[in-house]
Amino acid sequence: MRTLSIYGSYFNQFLMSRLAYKWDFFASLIANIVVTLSGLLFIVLLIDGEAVPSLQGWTREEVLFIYGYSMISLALFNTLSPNLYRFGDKYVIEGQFDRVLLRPLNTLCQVLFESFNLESVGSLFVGIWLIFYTGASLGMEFGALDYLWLLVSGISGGIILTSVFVLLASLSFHFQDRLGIGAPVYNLINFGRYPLPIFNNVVQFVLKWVVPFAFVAFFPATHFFSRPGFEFFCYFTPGMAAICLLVAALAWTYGVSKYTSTGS
Amino acid sequence: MAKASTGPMSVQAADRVDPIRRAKSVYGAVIRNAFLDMLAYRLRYFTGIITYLLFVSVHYFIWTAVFAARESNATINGFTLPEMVTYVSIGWIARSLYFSNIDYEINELVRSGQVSVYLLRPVNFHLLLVAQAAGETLFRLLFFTVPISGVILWLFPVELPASLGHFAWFLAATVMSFLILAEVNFITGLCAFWFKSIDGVMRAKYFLVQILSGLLLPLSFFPGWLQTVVELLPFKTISYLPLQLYLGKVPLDEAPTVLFEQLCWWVALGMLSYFVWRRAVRVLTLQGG
Repeated sequence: MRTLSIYGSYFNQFLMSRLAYKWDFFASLIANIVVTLSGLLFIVLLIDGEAVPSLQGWTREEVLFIYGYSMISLALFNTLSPNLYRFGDKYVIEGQFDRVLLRPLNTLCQVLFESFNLESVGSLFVGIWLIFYTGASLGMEFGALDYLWLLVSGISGGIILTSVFVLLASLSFHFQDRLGIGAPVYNLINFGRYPLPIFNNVVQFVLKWVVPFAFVAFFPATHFFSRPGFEFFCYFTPGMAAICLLVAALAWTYGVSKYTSTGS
Repeated sequence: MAKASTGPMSVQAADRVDPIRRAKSVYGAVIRNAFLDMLAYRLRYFTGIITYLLFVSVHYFIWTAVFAARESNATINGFTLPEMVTYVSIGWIARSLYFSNIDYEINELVRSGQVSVYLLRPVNFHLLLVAQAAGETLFRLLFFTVPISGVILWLFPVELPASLGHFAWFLAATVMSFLILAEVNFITGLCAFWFKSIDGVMRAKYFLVQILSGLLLPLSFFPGWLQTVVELLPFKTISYLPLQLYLGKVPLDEAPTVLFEQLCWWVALGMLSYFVWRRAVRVLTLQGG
């Protein structure tokens, strides 16, 4: 309980420093919404319902529903992730990790809670709106269990994304340099935002078992579709999140044990 | 002499440290350092190649899915599947040449305060940044565009340009794309003089240029009203028009018109960036007291 309140203070502190420049924050929030909407624009323009009726049988609403689903997990991940990208530079090379080690709190949680990307709330709202908007035109009815699944799978997706980037960040302990593989992996997320069957077998395999981004949006979203064949993977989403979290935690712990300070 | 003395020395050393273990740690470190040195510079380009490959791949699969239910030579909004695969592939290859980080550079200069040093120098700030970007593009041409083209042309069924003449015009138009985008980025970067953080502005610009330039999908896929809007904006001259030249959708005798349109936009944006620059300098002076 005390630990939680400390993380709460971390968050409050960041919130206050961020809101010190209110207009700047609102400008970022609006920019975030513009970015989110322009990502949507591609699908809306492409699958116009006339010249292009569907994506290999997946209707515009279904594709948008999956895309909206991905926004929820991505928003959670983007909120937490800013320190993961610059972990190698900021913590390992600059030696700031010394400070983290001195405090009696979990090192990973400290790193994650020292900086947030609050603008991402914008895409969270767009994602939720999109799910209910397209869900309504697909004739979906949401019961209590559906809301629960949305919550559980959304958080699971966020955990999967965060775990993958924690794993990449923990490589900085060994290489003392940004490997630069963050950007390509980040772009791999785009594959997880479309119906999986449109990709060939190699890509599908990678998205299921290597970098499991298919669990970020596509598989959990199939819960809401009347399309058979995805049940196992769909309800395996929390399990996959647990596996990712475990692997990331092990890699992080091992990395911390290998950390050598800059000595300055 | 020297040889004779090292003999017993190394025997003594071997008594303390297992020679195989020592060799492993010494050469292991050498190999590791060499590897890391390579990584420091090359990996950025290597990962860049993968990033571009991923962009092209995801769009390749999307377009294949779009055409899935059609006959093999069907056209959608004036494009066949092979044309669309070419459009996307060549579009990204051209992007590897014409993009620049001028907005990012200006932001860094303003953040660090170094911009004042640049202002004191007897050089034109605008020209300096564009020249720097041009140098980077030349570097990328060799170490980035060539390998990317190799990988993409090998993996995807990309069509050859419509004709040699079309290809020449396409290359000229891509040079203009660089100049036009450089102005757009310059103006975006100048926002840093007014706002505390322009990360959001830069990201929004990035996505808007991607869509409105036609990099993601041709303008003929846009609804009528949006086509009208895009016709009035400079972005279509960055990607869509050069690609129309490559694919031969523009007849050769109309190619000069495309370049003329690009030239007009370049001049117009150049004037706008000069105007914004003058105001930006004034804001900086005010802050500096």
